[in-house]
Amino acid sequence: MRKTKIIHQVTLKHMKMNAKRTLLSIVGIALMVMLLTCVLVGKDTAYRYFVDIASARNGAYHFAVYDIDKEQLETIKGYSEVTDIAVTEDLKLTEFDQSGKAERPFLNIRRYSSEAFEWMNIKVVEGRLPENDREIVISQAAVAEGATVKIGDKIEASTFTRYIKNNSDSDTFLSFPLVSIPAGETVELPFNMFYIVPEEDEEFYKTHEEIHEPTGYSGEYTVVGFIESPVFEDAGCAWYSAISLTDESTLQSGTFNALLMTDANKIDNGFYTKLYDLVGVDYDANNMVLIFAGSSSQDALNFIVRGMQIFFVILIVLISVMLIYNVFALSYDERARYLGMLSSVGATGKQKRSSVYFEALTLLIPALPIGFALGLIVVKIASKVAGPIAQRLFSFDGEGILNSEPVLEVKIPVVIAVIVLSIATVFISALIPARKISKVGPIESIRGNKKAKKIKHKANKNPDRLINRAASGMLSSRFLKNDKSKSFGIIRAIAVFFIVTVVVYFGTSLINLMVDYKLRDNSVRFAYLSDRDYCLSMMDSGDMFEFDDIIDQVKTADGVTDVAICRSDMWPLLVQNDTLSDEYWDDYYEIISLYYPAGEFSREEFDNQFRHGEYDQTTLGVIGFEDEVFDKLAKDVKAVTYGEDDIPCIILSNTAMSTDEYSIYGQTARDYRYYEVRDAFVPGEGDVLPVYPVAITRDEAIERGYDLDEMTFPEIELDGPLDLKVIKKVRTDEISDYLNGTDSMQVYIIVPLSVVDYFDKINCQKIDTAVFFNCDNKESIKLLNAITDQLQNDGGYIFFNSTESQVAEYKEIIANLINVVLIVFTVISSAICLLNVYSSISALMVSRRKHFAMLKSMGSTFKQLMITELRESSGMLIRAFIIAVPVTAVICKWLSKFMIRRFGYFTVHFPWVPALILTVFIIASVIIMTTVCLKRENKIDIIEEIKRESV
Amino acid sequence: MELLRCENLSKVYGAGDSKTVALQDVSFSVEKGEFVSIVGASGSGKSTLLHIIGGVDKPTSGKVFINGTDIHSQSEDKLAIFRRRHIGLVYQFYNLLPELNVDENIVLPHMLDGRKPDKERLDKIVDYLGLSDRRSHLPSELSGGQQQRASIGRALFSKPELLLADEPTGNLDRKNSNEIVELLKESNRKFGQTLILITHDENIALQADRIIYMEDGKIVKDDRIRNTDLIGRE
Repeated sequence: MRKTKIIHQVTLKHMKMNAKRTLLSIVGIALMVMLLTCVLVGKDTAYRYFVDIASARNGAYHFAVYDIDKEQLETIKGYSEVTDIAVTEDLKLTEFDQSGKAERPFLNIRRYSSEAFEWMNIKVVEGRLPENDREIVISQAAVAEGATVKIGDKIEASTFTRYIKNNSDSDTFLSFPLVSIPAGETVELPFNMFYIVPEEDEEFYKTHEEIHEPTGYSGEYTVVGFIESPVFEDAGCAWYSAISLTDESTLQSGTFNALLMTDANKIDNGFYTKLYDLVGVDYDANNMVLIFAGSSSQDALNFIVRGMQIFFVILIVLISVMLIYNVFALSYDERARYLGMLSSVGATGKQKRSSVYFEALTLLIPALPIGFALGLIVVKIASKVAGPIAQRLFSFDGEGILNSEPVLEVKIPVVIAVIVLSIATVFISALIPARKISKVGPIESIRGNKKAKKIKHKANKNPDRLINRAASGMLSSRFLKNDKSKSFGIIRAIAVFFIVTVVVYFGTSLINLMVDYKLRDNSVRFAYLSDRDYCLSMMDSGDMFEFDDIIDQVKTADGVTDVAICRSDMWPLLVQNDTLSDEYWDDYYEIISLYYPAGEFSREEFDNQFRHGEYDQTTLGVIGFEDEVFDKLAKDVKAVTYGEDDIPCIILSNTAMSTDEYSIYGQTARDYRYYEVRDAFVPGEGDVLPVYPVAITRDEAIERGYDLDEMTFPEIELDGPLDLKVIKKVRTDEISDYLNGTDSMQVYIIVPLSVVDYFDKINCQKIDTAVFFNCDNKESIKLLNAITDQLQNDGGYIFFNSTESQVAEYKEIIANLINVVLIVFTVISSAICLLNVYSSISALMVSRRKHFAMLKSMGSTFKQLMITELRESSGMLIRAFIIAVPVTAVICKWLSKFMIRRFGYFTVHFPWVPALILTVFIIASVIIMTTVCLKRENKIDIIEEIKRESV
Repeated sequence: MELLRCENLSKVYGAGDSKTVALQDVSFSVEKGEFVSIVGASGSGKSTLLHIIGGVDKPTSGKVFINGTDIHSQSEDKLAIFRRRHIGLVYQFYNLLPELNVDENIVLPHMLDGRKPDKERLDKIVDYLGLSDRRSHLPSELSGGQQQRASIGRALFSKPELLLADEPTGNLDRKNSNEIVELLKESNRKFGQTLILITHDENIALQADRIIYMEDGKIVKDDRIRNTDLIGRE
């Protein structure tokens, strides 16, 4: 024990004497801890922030189920996925006499259980939350708009539902939200319907009547506080929110709503099915919160992030092991000398080993807290940079913006993981040096000639070689040959620098690509006209609404500009299977075969069933641009000209397909695959593409024995294929100004809108329409949101969203997250590697002190020393690149193979340009470091060095 | 003919309480072809004087002239070039480069001067030093005596006019010591090289033409013990 203590004391002294190297080691370890902290704490912080943003927007709950009764509630309570439940009920509207705004004369009385206040982000701005079911809080918007209500006032509630009766002879259409009231009919108003003030529009009330039908509920409430306007309260609606407390026992209505918190990791398709079976479509998943809470049904994102974490942690550990190992290995000679001396007075191998471990621990003690603190600072700074990006992407319509910065999420298990990983890394690094040092005997340690090996001396085959060489060449080659341990330290450091940086760059590019493909695959179809911020998409839903009316409303809304129409549909047409290329069918087979046990679905079976089977046609998607836009596109891509009688089309030659697209016989694929199809079509430029409508003709219906009265037939019935002229084949990326993304499994053509109108006539259903536009008026955006909500509630198929959000929502967030992490990681890992290179070069130069002294005493100039060292560095650089380039190539190849195996085929390019830039950077760094270190060593005292007994 | 002249050389290390005077106002001159031994107790300033003469250390004051050149008035690079052309240094601990073999160590100063080594001369010197069968060996594979021979070979190869040897036998046994001194004497006689040798060994010192005694950084005695025609000994 005492002996060990002495050894530790000597080790400490040795570390103090080599303060620079000790400091360098501490910096290296601190950087490693910092990186680990960045990767582990960074992810939690980012996720926490995304959950916060998503919660601010939609609430913190995971699922909301509507109009359930107590029996259904009990069923939900029994679900193992559900961890907590809150109940809410909407008691509808009551008169609000104290209102200061004529357009908002009502209160919307809602009742929440205590959890629901928290999960719905109800924030008190004055007073307090209700503590019983007779107390109520009111939206502060009421006070802001002049209401005379104050805390302590009593509110008499007698609730009702709003209707409008149309007493006129004609139908009435109200906009924002859109309400259609047929002549003579009474229509229930949507919950967010505005109020028409009688004094301001007497004309309206001459023919219309607002009817309030009592719900039967009445009660008295005491106002105990004011709250921020809840997210569901539109500024243009007729009411202010008023929320009271409830619990399951005091629910007023037979049906109510429930908010569910779940164990997000357990959420899979089975849970959605259970909810559907219980309440039908009356439930919502708070997807944004679920994704970042780790829902396994959102496994794309979580897999990517988890994969990234593992990738980074492994790399950090590897880089750090290299750095710390190098530091220990480079100081081997000195350590061997003082440990040899201790060994000569009886120190055992175990004690010598313990000296190395002790040094590792001593380095770790200051490095761990410093690195952790630095990591937290970096995460904080990075999250400050990334925060606004996430905000912008989540809050595209200005709703639910979170007014706070990301908060560091430091979980105890993560802290433990950082500590354990750091300790493990440092001790792994010390393992080999410790074992080596324990085996060295006292004499060879003291003499420092451990490497003296029996050398076979060959006769000099080329005696003139010595004569014809320059001194610097001879010295540098001999240093390289005969001082291998030190030069290999540098070679290793340079090689690791190159490998790590290129692999990190390549790996993160792959992850970015994968995010691109995978998330695009999951969430993104085509994005048209990317210079427009907003998109209103409408699908043919019978007589629900007229496309033209909606488009007119958009065009006339305040602040709307750049309106453009695009029509598209996934399967309005069919093509013969032999129109599609072998590549398409090959990839299709690869996908389909994954739904069968390995080896059980042959290509022949596939061809018989899918390619040449009973259904020998495949659906063809159509994208229609306004005629002038199509002409411009045709010009841009240098399409061939076409005659007046031709029906032109541009073929989108590429498509993609993945296992996410199918569920064959209820089975899921054995593995995930994503394939890029480069050219899906056989016909080329100038060829004819025969297409068929999906609708069947009267003759076909008769032939098949269908009941004609039950069927709808197209306006124009074709008796054969419609021949389109292919004026160009393009890839999506060639027309990125018009179109982004790909559509899994689907093949597409682009045609002018006039041709789309013709397609409408040969089919029974209209091709979907989308209006793209820019808008700088937030009120208009809110109103358009309200229209779409209303139409959706009424069963219409209409969607309004920001194109930016539609295209980029997940992808952009994750890509930005990756980029922030990538920059931080690459910079820090490069810094560690650079530090490694510097410490190796510095150690070599220190070990050469006596050499330099001897050479100088023999008359060597500084320039000669410099040339010698630079020649040696060149040799080391060449050796390092000889090792690094193939290793990097193999790792990159392996990485891309792994990714392709895991995610299917996508195009991967080796990063030649970054690798070349890095090579130049490394060469420059090595030259600079060598020069700096040599200049430092050039100041040494020749006499002192010469007096030292040995080199 | 005077080869070396030292004028009022002083060397002081440190300052204040830690001030150490290594040399005090040392002046002497050495004729071309002369063999001079410098003797004195440890710390008397012998090695400091030799290093200053060899241009690897600088005096605090005073001048060193070799062939009339004030060597310390030159820039560091010019002094280095002067050193490799005119001075050969032999150290007690050999100071061979461990990565170079015997041949390479010997020709190194010559090559540093940008000159191609003369193969015949190299063969002759290696043969003369008795290292013919050790030419491709690294220093770690040689005995102490062999290493010192190689270091003498290095000092002799460029035919420097002034050979400085700092206790060249201090690390060797008697047999090897005698052989090394014989080699140095022979080079002094055969090639007319001026030799200044530091030693503790009285027997070795007495083989010189002149013995300089040093004490506390001063020359206390300068004895010419042998009168020889210094020019053209051979």
